[in-house]
Amino acid sequence: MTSLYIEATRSTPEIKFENHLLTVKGQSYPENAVGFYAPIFSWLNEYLGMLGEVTAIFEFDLLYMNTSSSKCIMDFVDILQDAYSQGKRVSINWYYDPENESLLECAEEFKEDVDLPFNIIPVEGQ
Amino acid sequence: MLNESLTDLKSRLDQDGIVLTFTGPFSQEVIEVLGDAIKKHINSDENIKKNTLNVFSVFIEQTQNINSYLSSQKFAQEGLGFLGSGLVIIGKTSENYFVYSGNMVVKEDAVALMSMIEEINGLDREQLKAAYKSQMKKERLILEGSSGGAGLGLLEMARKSSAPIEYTLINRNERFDYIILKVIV
Repeated sequence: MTSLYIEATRSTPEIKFENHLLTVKGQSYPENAVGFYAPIFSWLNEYLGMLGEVTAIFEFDLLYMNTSSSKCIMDFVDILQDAYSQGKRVSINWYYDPENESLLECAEEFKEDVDLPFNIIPVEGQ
Repeated sequence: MLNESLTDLKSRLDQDGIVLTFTGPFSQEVIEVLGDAIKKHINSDENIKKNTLNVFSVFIEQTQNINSYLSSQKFAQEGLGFLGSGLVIIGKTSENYFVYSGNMVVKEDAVALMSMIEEINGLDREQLKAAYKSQMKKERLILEGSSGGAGLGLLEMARKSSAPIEYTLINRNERFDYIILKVIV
């Protein structure tokens, strides 16, 4: 599977994939969140379709996201949950700054609806 | 003469605790640059450090709502030109930040927006959270890109604010109102 790399901008996160680890890092508030995430989801669906016995880890390390990005990240989590329900080995690590409660709340809200491994991890001094 | 009135304007803004104001055509680029300036300002404010992201978040939702409304096909067809520009003001009191926004709005949209705000203002914290979640699921089903309406953005603002969302409608003509929103963070 080819690797994936999208450089961060002021309003979009860095997306990096290598060795079955995908990270989404930074801020997300583009004008058109669906336009930003749609190609990533196509890539993701293709990747998950080909995923064998390996565990794929998805790390979210976000400082801020606007409401339309939240909707997209919820879609992201749903795609992973579908793969998990089909027997794929996927897990989520969600990092957040303890001083930033809203990203913790988001993670908790996303986690409520799924049963894949979903670790919410505080990181001091981000 | 302009010099004098600008000096007056500046001292007026200072008196009212305004730290940033922008009026003109909104764009994503403008929003990002102003957003960065706000973050820098609040981060250097020792008193009100903890809600930097709440102020930023309210600012982003407010300005992106306006940007998406003013650039929507429906509004563009009104042919308002420069009148179709937005206003955003951020200021502070001794305890809070406040974010004002202003823009032209078609009267029927103003009515819909007001009733949405009234409804949101009537919700407590838990109800807001539940409404946010159900709105999020509803808007995802619409598949209209990021412009799923003002609902989710308003709910987010309400969740970040420490007081009800205030609004003022000013009658412009038979077709338009000017709407001012005030959110205290």
